[in-house]
Amino acid sequence: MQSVHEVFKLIFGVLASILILGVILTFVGNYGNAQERSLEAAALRNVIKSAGDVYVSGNGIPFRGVPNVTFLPGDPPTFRTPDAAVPVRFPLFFRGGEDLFLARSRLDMGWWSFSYVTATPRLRVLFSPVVGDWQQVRDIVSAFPDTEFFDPKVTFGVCDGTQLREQLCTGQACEQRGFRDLPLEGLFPAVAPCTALLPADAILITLSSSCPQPRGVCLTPPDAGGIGTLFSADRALGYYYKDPVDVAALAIGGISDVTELTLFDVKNEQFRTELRLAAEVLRTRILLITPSFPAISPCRPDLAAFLGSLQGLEAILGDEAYYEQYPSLQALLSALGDLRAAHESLAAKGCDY
Amino acid sequence: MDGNCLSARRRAQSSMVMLVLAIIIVLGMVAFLFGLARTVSSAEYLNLYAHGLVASVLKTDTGYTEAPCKTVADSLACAYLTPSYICGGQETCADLADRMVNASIGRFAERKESLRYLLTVEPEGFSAIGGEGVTRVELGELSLRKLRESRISAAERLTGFFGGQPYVLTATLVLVVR
Amino acid sequence: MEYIMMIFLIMVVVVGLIVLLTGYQITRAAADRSDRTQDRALFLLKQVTTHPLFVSEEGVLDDAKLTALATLPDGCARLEDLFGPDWFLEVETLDGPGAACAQTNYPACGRWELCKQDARAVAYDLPVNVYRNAGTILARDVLARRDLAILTVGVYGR
Repeated sequence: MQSVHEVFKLIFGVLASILILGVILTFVGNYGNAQERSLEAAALRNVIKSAGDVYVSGNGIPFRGVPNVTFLPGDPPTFRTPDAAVPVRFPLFFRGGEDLFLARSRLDMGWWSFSYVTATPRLRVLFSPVVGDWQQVRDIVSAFPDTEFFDPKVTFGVCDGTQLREQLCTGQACEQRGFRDLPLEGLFPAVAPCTALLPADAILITLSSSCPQPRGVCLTPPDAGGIGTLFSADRALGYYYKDPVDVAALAIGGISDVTELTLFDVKNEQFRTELRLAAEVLRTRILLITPSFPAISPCRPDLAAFLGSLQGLEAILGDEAYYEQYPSLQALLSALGDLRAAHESLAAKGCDY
Repeated sequence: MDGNCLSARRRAQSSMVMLVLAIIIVLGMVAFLFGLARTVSSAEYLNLYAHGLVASVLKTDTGYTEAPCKTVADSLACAYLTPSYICGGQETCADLADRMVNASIGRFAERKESLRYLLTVEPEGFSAIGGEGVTRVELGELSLRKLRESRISAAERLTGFFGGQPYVLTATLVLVVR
Repeated sequence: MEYIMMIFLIMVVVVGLIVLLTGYQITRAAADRSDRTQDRALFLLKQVTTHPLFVSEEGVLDDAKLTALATLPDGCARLEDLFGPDWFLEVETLDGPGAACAQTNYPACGRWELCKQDARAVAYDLPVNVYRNAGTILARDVLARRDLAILTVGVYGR
């Protein structure tokens, strides 16, 4: 028979053990969660660092093991995890996936180029050019990343009625260069509206004179001023588009459930911010360097023309909603055309780089 | 009875000792783990610095406007191909290259203590003799060639035409930063 | 009595372990924050040497662009809109006039500062070139010149 004292010791020991175990288990649970979140945050920083390196170097890289993050278009765009919100300070077109290909692309305007990074998983971009503007299709293809020699791939094909025509490059799916080099006008003299069942990794881009109920992204051909309208399945209202990057931004990014903004909105805001500052800096630069050119220099008239076009551009981009207004876009495209011509003249005469 | 008390006391004492040892081990782990504070790798920055240094020194204008002597890169190629060429009627391109490289990198060495360098210009691929029997141009501390200390290197290509033929040379900068 | 002492010591060890691991997490969090600041400073350094707002070509900063940015009324705020807040850059040519550049003394100047504050920062230096638009003025032309300079980019905060 155990004495009372020994029973006390037993019970005390058991209670103490339960207490100690309880403390340890609680801490281990919390510590485990904290470690997991810390690893996720580290993985997220790696994605952003890698994307940043691609932005400055221009060398595309694959990225594996992307954490589960939410990309929120905004000012600035932000990556969100349960514990962290990391802003992205360069143009990034992000589409979620575990394995991504990071690449830099450029919209070259001659006097300026707007660079952006695309982060894309395996994508099958399918065109349905009911209005057969194949040159525009090629331009849009150029705005997507070139994944040659890399994975995951971004491939291009055509949706013709109920058929998906993708194995167009010697029996294989076409990447950017291969698709652009195809004799598409001859291969597809007429294309029926796409009614095929689309796989989960496909993006459908339709070119049509009207887009009543778009699947994916639908655009009308640009008018004489270079402006068309762009529709998304997720939003009732359309957008004006002025360059192929607008189409790529909407196609890759879609519409955020949280912010109701799209990559299209973000791209145009970043475009405006960058170009407006660029116009002002270059205008001041021209004012600074012109006096050093001799009065008889043939460069002076071209410098004056370039300066005038820059001033016009600054005024247009002063309006935040410029990309939602047709007259502003018309004026913008006209100013960009003038700037391209003025810059080409300056460079041809050796007046500027 | 005394024996039992004594052995019980000894067991208790040894338990105490074990626990004290355990606490000491834990404290030791504390010191060890805190000492594991991560140091940031500066390799990326040092590589960027080395590439920035060699690229910017090579692109720098020398003050002469004639083609074989216009930039430091031009003068280095001239120093390999025609070292006795006179720039602006004043100095040979070999002397010019030596002066410009030493002055340029020397200015950065003033800012970064203990920056030692060796700049080598030689042809890409198979070695070939340059003009006037030159096999290689070396500027800076020649002892760095055989140094076993950790060093950073960065290379740039020098291209152009000499005697109507294209040339391709490699300028390699080796840096030792303590 | 020994059992109570033993339990007490075990609790001390357990609490000590908890404190140790928590302290380690805090140290790691601080190191992560420092890493992020350094990563950002390095990224900004690379951006400045490649972005057309600053350069004529990669690694060659344009002196007129730098002067324009340094003298814009809200230049720092506009740069922060693009590249984020709390950072600065300095460029100094190694030879030639060392005056800070303004529109009045351009091009006889050799120093530019953007968004400088009196605060602690993590900064990196990098050798660069500065493209002098009015390097050599001839009778009918202007020849540009590339000078050697040092670029410093930093991020404020610990």
